[in-house]
Amino acid sequence: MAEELTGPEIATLGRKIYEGIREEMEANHWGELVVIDVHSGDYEVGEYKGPRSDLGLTKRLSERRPEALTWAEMVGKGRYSFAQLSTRQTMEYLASKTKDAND
Amino acid sequence: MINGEVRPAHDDGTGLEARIMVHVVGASRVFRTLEVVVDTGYTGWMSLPEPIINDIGLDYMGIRPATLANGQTVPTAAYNAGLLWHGRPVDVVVQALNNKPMVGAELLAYCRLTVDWWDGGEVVIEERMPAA
Repeated sequence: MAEELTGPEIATLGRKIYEGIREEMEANHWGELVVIDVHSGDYEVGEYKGPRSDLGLTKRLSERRPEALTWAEMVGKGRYSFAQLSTRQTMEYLASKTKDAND
Repeated sequence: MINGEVRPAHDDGTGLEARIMVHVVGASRVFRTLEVVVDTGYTGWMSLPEPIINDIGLDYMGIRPATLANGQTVPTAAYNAGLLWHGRPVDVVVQALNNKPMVGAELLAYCRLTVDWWDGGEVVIEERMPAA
């Protein structure tokens, strides 16, 4: 079940599946975004023009895989980042992590 | 047109932030009106703390890395949500972050943001299209 996978497990599974398709992706989809369902290994790949592209590919994948839990990779470009957080979000994020560590 | 207000950012009255109200719809058609901070330094649509996400019942998409202002990349849980924006429903991704509810630059696409930067100042978001 989807709920049984933690965030780190989704990331690990997603990277593992991507490694399996990396060669084909880099040959045919360099610079594009691939969104992967970590349960089935099914994926959608397409041009990247910002967060909207990620949402579009994820929704297309979810039409085939309603229970999809997804991870995304930018083909050939190294680690993908969905969004840049602001200074304020960063400060609050780091403060919450420090608090979690101290609790 | 969406209207909001500039208010102090911190409990001690220091700092300022631009606030607006947004209407969020979750998977089970649960509807919430939330006060959010407009943060143009954030490139995503919206970030919400996990308890609010669970309360609304948003659809879990998976994990998406985000880049902190110091360049570090961290995993964030990503959710699909509907927003009522300029009177129309729009699909967005909500990132789980344990901070104040915020909306970012992606939500401001094709909008003009005007802020009177003083306590009590007016925040206005209008739909705009680039001149042809």
